[in-house]
Amino acid sequence: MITIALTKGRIEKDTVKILEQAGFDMRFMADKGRNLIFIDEQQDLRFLLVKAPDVATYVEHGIADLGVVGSDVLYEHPGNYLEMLDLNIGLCKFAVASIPSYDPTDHKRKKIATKYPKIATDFFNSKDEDVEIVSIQGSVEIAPVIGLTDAIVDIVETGNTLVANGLVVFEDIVRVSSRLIANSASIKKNSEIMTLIDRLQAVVGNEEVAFNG
Amino acid sequence: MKNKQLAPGMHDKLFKRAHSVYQIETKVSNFLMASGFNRIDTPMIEYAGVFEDELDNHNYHLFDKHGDLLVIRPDVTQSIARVVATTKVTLPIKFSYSGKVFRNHDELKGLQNERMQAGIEIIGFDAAVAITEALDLAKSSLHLAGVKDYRIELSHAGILHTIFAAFDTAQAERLASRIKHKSITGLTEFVKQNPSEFDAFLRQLPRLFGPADKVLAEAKKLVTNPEILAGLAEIENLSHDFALSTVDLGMLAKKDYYTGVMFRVFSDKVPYAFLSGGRYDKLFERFDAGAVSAVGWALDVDAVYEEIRQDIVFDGGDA
Repeated sequence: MITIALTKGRIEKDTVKILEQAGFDMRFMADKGRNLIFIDEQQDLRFLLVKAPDVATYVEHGIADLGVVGSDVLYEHPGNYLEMLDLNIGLCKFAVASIPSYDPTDHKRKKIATKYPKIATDFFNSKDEDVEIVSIQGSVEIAPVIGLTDAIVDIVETGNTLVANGLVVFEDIVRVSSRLIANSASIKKNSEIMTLIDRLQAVVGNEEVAFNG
Repeated sequence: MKNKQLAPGMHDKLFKRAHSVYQIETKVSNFLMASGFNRIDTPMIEYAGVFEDELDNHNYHLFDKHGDLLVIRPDVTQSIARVVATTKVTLPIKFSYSGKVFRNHDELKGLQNERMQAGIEIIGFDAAVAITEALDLAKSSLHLAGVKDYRIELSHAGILHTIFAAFDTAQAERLASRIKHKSITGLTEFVKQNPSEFDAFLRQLPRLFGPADKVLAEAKKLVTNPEILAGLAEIENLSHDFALSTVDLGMLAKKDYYTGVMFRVFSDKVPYAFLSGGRYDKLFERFDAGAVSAVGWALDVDAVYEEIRQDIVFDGGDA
């Protein structure tokens, strides 16, 4: 039995699509209701639907053999798991955004609002710039508009939310995509797992697809 | 003042667990002493420089009265290397120890910050003989502790060292992180951007683990570098002596002082290695002493207990 942890929603739908292309029969996941565990005895597969940061926790403890989760989440929650494949789904990027009057070259120590304090801190550190990070849980876009901070670090996919709130992207930080993570003991215990990874790789390829947004 | 809850990552052991962990520790320690090893007991608290080159936020730190940074030991090997490098202890020598080690893991992840270890260090002997002896003793200790089903996994620090030396520091760091993650996509992208004589080997590296004969035969076809071939041959010889051993060529050394063969022992029940060790000749350089041939391992007694707890009959309660 191979156990795979997924996040409900987009990632789950895109992952199911890849699994179908890889030749798995995923009909048992079609009718979800309120279920959080899905088992297919014939294919020896079990899926757990959990919150994104918990995917890493389940895989780390070996409760799940594999997991699919965004690199944004992995960056903020590093742990003891293998990050084996870039699935090239859930493509987006981390970026610095603010109101048009924001000046990235301003001499003052900037305040940055973000849901991702680690990536924000590391990005400004890599530029040798010290900033004050303000951790916000959601609706980060309003922080520069109402004057809480000078700018934000957030995930940008279509850019529509930014535009709707009068923000523009100033700097791209890094590409984000969903990754297949694995428990390091699981892949050695059960050779079926590498077979599954081979089948997924045949679908998604070896390359990082660029995010052009 | 908090006085009713445990500090993060800490656990009380009672009854069956306390009893069994103590028994495993004692049995293995007595066996090692009876096998000619000198018992050594180094301090739980040492200056940070014994363990760290730069601040490691997964260690417990405290200050002494002079403002010097201290660490609660995460490991015993470094302390023993300090003893060897800074005293007149005559080599060759064999040490055995047992005691608690501490890691300040991220909180709320269900991890155990305090673990009981028992281990050995064989210092100044012929390396090939020492590795065989270390693995023999590891097997005997596991048998004594009651571990039945396990597999030995071999790797070689020299192989990846050779590859890292071909790149600059920043590239080598990126490469190391991708190897550590067995990142198929990441390594393919890396060789595309940084071509070298190791391309074929690096692309295949995330898959180079499993039964020794099969993986080594495949690896030998992917490289021509004599140092890497020598490392593979060393693993191959050992795998003949220790039947059914597996290899993982993408196993990154946890510490950069490892220089040669490394080994870990796994089972199906515990999701991490419960015994790990290897050859660490370069560790003595941290204490301004020359390289010495050294091999050692540490047994994670708490992990062994997890492995065998179902086999232990104990009617005084389970905790």
